[in-house]
Amino acid sequence: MNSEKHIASARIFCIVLFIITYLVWDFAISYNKRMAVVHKARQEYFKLFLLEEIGVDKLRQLKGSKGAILLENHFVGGIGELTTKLSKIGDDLFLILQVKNINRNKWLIKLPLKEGLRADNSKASEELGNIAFNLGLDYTGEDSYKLVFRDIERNLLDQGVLIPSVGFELKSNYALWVIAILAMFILIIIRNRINSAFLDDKIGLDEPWIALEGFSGLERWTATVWLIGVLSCPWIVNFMLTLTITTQISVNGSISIAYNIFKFVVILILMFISGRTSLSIVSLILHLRNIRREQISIILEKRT
Amino acid sequence: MQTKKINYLTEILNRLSHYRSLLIIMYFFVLVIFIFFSLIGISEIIPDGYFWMLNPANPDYSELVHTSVSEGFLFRVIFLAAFLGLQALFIWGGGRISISTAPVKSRKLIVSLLIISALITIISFSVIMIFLEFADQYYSLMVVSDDSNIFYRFFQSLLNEPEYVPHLVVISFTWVFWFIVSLIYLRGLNHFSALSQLIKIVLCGSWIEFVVALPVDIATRKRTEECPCISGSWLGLVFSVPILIWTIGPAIYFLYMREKRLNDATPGHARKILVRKSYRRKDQL
Repeated sequence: MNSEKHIASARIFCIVLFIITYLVWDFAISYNKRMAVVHKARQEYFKLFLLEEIGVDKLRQLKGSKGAILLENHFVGGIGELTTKLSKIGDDLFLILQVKNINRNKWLIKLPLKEGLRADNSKASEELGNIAFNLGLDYTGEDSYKLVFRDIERNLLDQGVLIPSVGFELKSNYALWVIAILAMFILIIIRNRINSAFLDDKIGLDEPWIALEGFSGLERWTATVWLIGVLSCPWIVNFMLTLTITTQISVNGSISIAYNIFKFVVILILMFISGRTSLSIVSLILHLRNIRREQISIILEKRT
Repeated sequence: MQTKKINYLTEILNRLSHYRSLLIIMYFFVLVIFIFFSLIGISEIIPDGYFWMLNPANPDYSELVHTSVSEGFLFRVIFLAAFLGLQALFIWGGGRISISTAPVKSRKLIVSLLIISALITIISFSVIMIFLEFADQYYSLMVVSDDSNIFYRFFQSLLNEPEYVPHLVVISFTWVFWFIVSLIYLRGLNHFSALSQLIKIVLCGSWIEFVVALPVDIATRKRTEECPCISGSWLGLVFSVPILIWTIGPAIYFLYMREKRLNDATPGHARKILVRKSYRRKDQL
């Protein structure tokens, strides 16, 4: 058995894990910011949709929940499937717009009744224009709001995550899932590599790794930081995954409960497996470190 | 060449044992802060800081409704007494801790099991609440009106309204369920291992609950609302943090017990540690 190679491999995978964690952090923050803009754009789109479909005059006539009932199950065909519903949540009434197959997306948005039934929704058009402008999209006031909205959604949602050197682009909806699962497998590989190092008498003594040899001074602190990094990486990755998936659900609406249960359970399983694996990795590294220290002591003793 | 497979926590526990005095000082420090916050009303301070972190630019958060320190003071004192009392009961309530390797009798574990299964029941329901928030269902399923959610009403009218009896039955069944599961799980273990396993499960459960509840709460919290109460993830945080702090106490105690057991089992254990520490200093290794 060549334990040096196993140690070198474990060390490289650890570095890959740190890079992945940084990417997840960076991606999750930018994705959540993008989703907040999508949410705002959809709300404005919904207001403009009501204005166009129902008309200003009729919106003026519609007052309170009685008016909203007229909007219930309002269905628009042709451009996709849009269904409006009225829902009472707590003491508040909400108008719900459920969208299928518009820009290949499926989502659901809730709008407080008072806001949805306002006859003057001209601000919505302005808001949508501002969002388009901030995104650097070419937009003229004469363009249809549907067109502007389509461009906004495409700009924000169709951005993938490009994997460097490979040229492969992950769809942003699934990127974090893939990365979190990948991080779990990397942790399992690291554990396997460190376990394999024990099979050799030399326990990889010729292969340097600060996590195994930092016995004093700044080296010791660096080794501690390294171990804390291994311990915390899976939690950071899964924290960001949970944050992103929750944002996705709150922006896209909860369309399938069964699918959401599945997602939640997978997150819990990922957390448990990754967390436990990282604990065992740190435990194994500490064990290896102790054995190495004893061996180095023996070598030093022989020399003197 | 590894002669025997090491437990996934062995070396971490060894390392923590080295710093157990520091750990206990840190724990007492956390406990003092927890007691202080509990007495003056944790819900007054944490949301302020938490909201400020979420959106420092929004001045509305400073306008949270504050209650006086005296309001609900008795409840807070009872809560703290129960918190500390249950820790002591968990460790000593089931009988004297024995270092015998023989399997422990179930009756000696009953009090500890009752406490732990109650905590697991709380964690289970909290996880369901967090899920409802995660799936955007909490508000529509749980909120009765703007200013009262189902939990508030439940605790308010627990004794007065018979309609909440089914809730109590469900909670009791869950409690009994976890009690039986724990009992089966701990069969054949000695007293020390059994209690350590129980603490490990609750520590792990409350930590995972906390790590799930926090991002869900950050993602779903409306940045303009004034009350932090009506939210599944907030309930998850409110339950997981005290359980986490509660669990660390007995966990440190068991760390001490583990060291004592190791010392008793291997006569040269203390000397070995001393020699290793002395050697390290000498050679700077």
